[in-house]
Amino acid sequence: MIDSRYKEMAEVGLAIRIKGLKKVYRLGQIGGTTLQEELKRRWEIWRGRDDPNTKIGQTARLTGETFMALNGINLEVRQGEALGIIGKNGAGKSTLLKILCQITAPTEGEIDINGRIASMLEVGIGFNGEMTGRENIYLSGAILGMTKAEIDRKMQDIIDFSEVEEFIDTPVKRYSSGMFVKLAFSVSAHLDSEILIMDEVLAVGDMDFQKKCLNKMREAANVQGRTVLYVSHNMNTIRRLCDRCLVLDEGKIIFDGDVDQAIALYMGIEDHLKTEYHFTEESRPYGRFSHKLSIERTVIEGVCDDPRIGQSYNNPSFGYGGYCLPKDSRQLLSNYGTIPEKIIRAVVESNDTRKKYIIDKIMRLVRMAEQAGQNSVVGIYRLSMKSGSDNSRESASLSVLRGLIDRGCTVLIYEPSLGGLCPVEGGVLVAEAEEFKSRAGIIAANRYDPCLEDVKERVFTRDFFMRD
Amino acid sequence: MTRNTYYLDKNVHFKHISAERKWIDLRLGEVWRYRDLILLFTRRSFALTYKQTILGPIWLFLNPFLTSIMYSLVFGRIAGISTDGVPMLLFYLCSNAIWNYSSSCVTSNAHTFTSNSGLFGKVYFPRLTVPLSQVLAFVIRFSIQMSMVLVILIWYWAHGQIHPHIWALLVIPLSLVQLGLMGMGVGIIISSMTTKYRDLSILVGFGMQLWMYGTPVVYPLSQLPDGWIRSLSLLNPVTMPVELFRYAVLGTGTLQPVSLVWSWGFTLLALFLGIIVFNHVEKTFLDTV
Repeated sequence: MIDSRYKEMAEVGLAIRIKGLKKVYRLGQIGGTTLQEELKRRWEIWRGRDDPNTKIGQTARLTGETFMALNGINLEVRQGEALGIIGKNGAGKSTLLKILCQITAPTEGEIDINGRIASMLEVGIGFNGEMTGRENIYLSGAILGMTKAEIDRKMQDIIDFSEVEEFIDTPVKRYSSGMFVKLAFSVSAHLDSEILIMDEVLAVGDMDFQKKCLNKMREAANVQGRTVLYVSHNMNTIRRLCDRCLVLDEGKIIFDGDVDQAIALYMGIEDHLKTEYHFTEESRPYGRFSHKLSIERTVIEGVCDDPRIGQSYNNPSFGYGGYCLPKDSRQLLSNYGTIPEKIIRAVVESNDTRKKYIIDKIMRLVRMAEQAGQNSVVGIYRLSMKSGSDNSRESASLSVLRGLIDRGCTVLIYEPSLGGLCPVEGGVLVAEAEEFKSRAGIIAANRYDPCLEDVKERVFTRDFFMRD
Repeated sequence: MTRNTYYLDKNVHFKHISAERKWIDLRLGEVWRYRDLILLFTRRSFALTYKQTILGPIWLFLNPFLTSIMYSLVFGRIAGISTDGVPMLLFYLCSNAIWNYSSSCVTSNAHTFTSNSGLFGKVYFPRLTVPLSQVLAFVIRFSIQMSMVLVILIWYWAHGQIHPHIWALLVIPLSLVQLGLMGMGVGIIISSMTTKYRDLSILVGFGMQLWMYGTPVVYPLSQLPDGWIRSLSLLNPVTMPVELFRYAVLGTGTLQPVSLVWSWGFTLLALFLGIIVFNHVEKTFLDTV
């Protein structure tokens, strides 16, 4: 029987075939947590009474309620395909990967897999801080399915790829977190398996290393003909790596096909935002002090068609703002995870150098906006400090930013160059990254921002700040 | 669920996963393919045990030595338990080594699932490699400890205070394998059950202590009076391997063929049941742990 299954799949070049896959999780308490509770429960149920472990207010039915993490997945993946899987949190992406990687068992359905699977659900699987880089390569490699001979053969390649050669005989607990993930990823990247299953693992290391990882994976799919399944919230990597994309929602495949369409659909799920309120505060010029603050709840209206977007900075007609977020802002928001339901956008243009005053003004407006809407608010602030020299503008903008973060705001700036916050290497933003990453701030730059000219691929997202 | 990897050809790896349940499913072939991993796990547990300790591997010797001295004082001098004429320190050193070996096989494996859930949740490899590597590590640890005992043993032997049975020394490896497999079997049954009931992991510490006093470790079997206590002791599957070991090394010990056969029967049963339950739990334990 197995032989015929294999032949069936090999004939049409299938790598994975999933039929009617379901996975049920039980909600609430699973049985008793201790033997005593379980015995009590059995005893009471046997006597025809209620489960004594049920919490008050919780009906007995609820403890038995089930949750379909996967609800009938049918899927065929051809050999050499790079398949992206996207969907909201809880859509079933990780469960699907876990079942494919044999970490947990399906409740129903069957799966045929033609080829070895390399599971990369996390970087650094099996790594141990006390052991040296080299020892960890052996252990992690063996856990991932390589034999010792295979690892010996690939050792040099792995070390070269990881860029940490000089520290290879140092315990990895002494590594920086960047070095650690580089080494860890290198091990996974050198597996020989025909099928690669990855969950958000490409976002490791610095930008150059990320690019290297992505290229390595593309090479795996396009040149070596290996099959790649990739789950990510980062639409950019999905777009660049995958040639087919699934959208999962509530345990079902709701779309299967073209990557751009899938992404558009996925983003569309979240598109129910409307402008409902608008607050503006403008101060009368007082000496050289003046400011204009405006806050509005805004709509993400799909991909913006504004022809100016994406054009070079030198184009005189190029302008920022408008109520339509540029294309990449949408992507940035999606990098953030799920698009927040309500977005408040604040435009701050100020000649005022009294930073604390400005911060308080902004906060007051944010509070008002928060009260008008009920959900949590993510603010997008465009900071534009007009007075002073370049340097003082930068530091003024930064102080405002820091003030907002201090007050618990999630800050997403786009078009930072307008405020003099230039996120190029060595720029103020980069220097402050360390400080911001541990806090609630999110800083995003529009990719078309002129200060990003020479670092085109460099988009600062939450990942960048949260990575370590 | 069944899931099997089929090697239709050397280069063809085909896997079928389905929700059907198959109870008797040992999947030992897969374990064999991951033998390198077993060795690496073994090495890791050695490398890690004595990291950042001052005395390092010296603890390997110091630990049983101190325990044996304590036993000699408490059980030998104070309680006055006979050691069948064997020098007290040597008796307790040997007893300690063999008992520690078998009890560690149980206790270390009793936590397989709970202490490895992070790793098991991220990647699949035959889970049985973990308990096997533990047993292997303890075999090596035992051998190292015995090398110290051997020096003392030879000294006493040269002075004619003990009379080892040379032919029986050949049985020692077999006893080690038996105790290791028994410990592993019992351990993985416990670990399979602790995924749902954490009580058991607490019980293990206490249970092992009880088990030790039920085994002729601090006293020889010959000291037990005929009657139900002795019968109970003979029912204990660890009794015979321990006595056999002392019989070979120290030349004293009571051998009971029926008890030995029972001991082996128990080993095979525990191992078989253990692997089945372990393989069964392993498939979904992440949902309940």
